[in-house]
Amino acid sequence: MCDKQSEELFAEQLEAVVRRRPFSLPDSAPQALRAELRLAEELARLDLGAESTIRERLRASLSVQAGARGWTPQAHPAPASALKASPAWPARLRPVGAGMAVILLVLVMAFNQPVLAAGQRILGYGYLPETGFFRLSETVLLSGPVVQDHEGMAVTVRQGVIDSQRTRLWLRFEGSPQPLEGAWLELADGQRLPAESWSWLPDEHQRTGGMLSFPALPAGTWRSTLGLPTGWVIPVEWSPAREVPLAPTRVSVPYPTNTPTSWATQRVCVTPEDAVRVCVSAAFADAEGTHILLEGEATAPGTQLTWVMDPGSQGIQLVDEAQRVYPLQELITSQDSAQLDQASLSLRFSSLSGEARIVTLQLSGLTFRLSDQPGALLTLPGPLSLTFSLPERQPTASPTPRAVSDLRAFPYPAPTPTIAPG
Amino acid sequence: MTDAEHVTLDDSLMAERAARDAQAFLSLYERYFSRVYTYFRYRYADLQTCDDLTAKTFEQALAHIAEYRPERGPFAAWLFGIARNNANGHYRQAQRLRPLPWERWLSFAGSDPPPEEVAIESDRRQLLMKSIQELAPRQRELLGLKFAAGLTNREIAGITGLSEQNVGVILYRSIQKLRRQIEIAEDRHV
Repeated sequence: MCDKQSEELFAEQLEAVVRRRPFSLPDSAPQALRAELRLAEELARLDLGAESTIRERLRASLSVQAGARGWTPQAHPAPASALKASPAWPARLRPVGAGMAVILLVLVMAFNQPVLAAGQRILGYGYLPETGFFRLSETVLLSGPVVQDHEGMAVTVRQGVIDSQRTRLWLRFEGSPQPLEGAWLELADGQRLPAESWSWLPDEHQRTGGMLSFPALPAGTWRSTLGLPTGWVIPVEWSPAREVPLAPTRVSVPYPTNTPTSWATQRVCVTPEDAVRVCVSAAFADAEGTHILLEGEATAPGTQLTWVMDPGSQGIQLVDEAQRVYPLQELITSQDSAQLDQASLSLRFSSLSGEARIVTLQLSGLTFRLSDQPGALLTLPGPLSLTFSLPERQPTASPTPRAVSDLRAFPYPAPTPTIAPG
Repeated sequence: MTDAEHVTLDDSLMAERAARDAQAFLSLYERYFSRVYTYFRYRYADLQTCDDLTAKTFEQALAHIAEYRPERGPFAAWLFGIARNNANGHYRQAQRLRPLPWERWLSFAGSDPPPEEVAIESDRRQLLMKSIQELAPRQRELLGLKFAAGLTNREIAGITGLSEQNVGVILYRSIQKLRRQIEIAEDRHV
């Protein structure tokens, strides 16, 4: 094959390569041509945008400039010569001058952080590219960006604003966009607020980020947790707008794993009596079934709860929304596992039906001791129910335990405890 | 309609809207930032220069967005026409300056040591970028317009004043040369 033919073949295939589609060559094509098209593929994938340090700053600056274009009447622009000619501006130009002063101030604020502090104090207003101007005294902002990495992907909560109407969070995705339908915000008291609306950013086609809108969080809320349906659980901290660090530090938090501590913010608990709380602290599904970590807590400080288990006599089962019952297959106590403390039980049930989304853990006759009442064997009234929802599961069973997230608390009627003689 | 045509149509509509809607312009900015920056990286090794030229390009695009006319061509061709002018203007200025030593360019690669797998990718990228910088300015320019901007040969011809056929030939020769340079560098490394 002559060079001219190679050149023609190359030209034919190049458009496909640039559109990131595979090239196709006849068997007789020379190896060098294949290598050149592979190199072209490499170049088509080359994206060096992440090297740049100006992306956010430039966006903010352009946002201000673009906003300014909207504020200045296009049909009657103020002649620059008029501004230069008169030391005292005519009344009709005063609004333009004031607007320009605001724009200049905003530009300075965007690029000069110390001036930002002074400007905020003087004016009582702040500015964010995402929202425009806001009153500092009436707004709560994200304390700082938070990023979570997992399997080569990352979700960054890059901005957040709470005003009197709603709570908004702006996310950035690296690796691939994450589904936002079903996202929630959890408050410190366990209350979960589902997202009222969401949108892709910059748009449907290029989903490099997203914006979530929730109800306005109650006054005095400084901590919350953002959950995405694919398992991302990201702590989101808030500060009064006046106190947000001028140069916030990006915080990195680990992606939740199967360890119970990682699920602490997602626990589903019931308090059937004043002295004791029972919680589902973690759950995951694997090829062997559905595993649930159940923890008991004595509410009195310094008091230790110890389960007193007789597996044969305990009524423990899992029930899904279609009332399918999954019997307990294995119960592991602290005596069986060095990983568990005395107040923890690891429960394993048979694999859930593919459609099961909401499950209820039913417990009855659970008995325990409290360290401050060593002589008493206590029994929780039953049946005790803890209900939570599960995300959609993959159709094939994975040999590796997979985290099950999105535990959702449901109200539980508090029964009266009974105390049996020890 | 192909994906590329769909994107072009969408961008053109967005650009029309951007003349009166700040958010539309910012959407275009998000779509094109990496492409514009990468285009400048084909042309220049100095990251600061690329940042500056990228900022200048978007500021000019914003200032003149009302002048964009979809019937004259896709938005990408218009935007990269501005980018090319800026790159060429900088090139003319840089003629009077000493070129940046290659060792200095390497120092821009980043101060944080990346993980091993990232390092391998980074090595390959450095080799690729180093080899690109060794090409002739016109070859670098056309590779940037082709691969970073994603323009068709016809659009590149419209921007550069070359014939469409000539664009194809230069691109092919550039890739050939780039492949040979990389092979030589890899052989040396082995």
